[in-house]
Amino acid sequence: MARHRLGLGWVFRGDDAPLTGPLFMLVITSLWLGATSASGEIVGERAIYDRERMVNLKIPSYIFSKTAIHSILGVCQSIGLLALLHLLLGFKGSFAVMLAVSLLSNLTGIALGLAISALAKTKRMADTLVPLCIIPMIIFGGTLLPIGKMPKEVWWAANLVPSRMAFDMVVREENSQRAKERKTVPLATYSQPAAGEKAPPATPVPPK
Amino acid sequence: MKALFTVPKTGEKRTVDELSAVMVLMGESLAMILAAMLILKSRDRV
Repeated sequence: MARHRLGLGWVFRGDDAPLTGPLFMLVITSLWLGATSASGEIVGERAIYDRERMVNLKIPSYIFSKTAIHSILGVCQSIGLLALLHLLLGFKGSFAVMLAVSLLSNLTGIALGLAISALAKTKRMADTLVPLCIIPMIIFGGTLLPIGKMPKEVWWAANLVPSRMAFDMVVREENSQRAKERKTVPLATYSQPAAGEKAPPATPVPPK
Repeated sequence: MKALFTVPKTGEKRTVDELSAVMVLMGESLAMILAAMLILKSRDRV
């Protein structure tokens, strides 16, 4: 197929392709795009903000205006990113559900970026803080190490990071559609096992 | 796992985990927006 001749589509080809990596990449990219675009906003216009505050600018109005503008940009980014990945990799999951998860991740990234921007004293500092906040989301996201294999002491961190939650949702959606087709290998869910349940397998189980 | 709600039209059962994931993502967004507001308020020069 034509998509197999293009970069990602060539690497992750076939119905049993290990798509957990690209699905996690979708979530992290959405978070990262949101955080990067919003991180320079407040710190970059601190002088203008201070002057506007003197003429009765309200903080909630200012923050929500920034969130709204970046959310519109985030919708375009998420649609573009997801359309490209769907086209190249042939995800089985619903486009609408994955778009909703991508948008939620993007919104979380925007909120994180605004908090960083409010905290940072210079634009350079804001740019440095973004990767520092995203890296724990990658570590505890459930792809590098399944949640069931992490020490119990750090489960709280894995349950707190937005990437784990968003990743779990896209994997569940992909698996539910794969189960309906009954011809593809389900991806490992990487979920935290419930009480009395066994941990999910770290690698996909081939069909009998 | 017990199904918590049913998706309209499709009738598909969604579980507690999916709903809690949405709630966590939205809650974290709101918490970080509030944090940004509090930081701005604490550094107010007006």
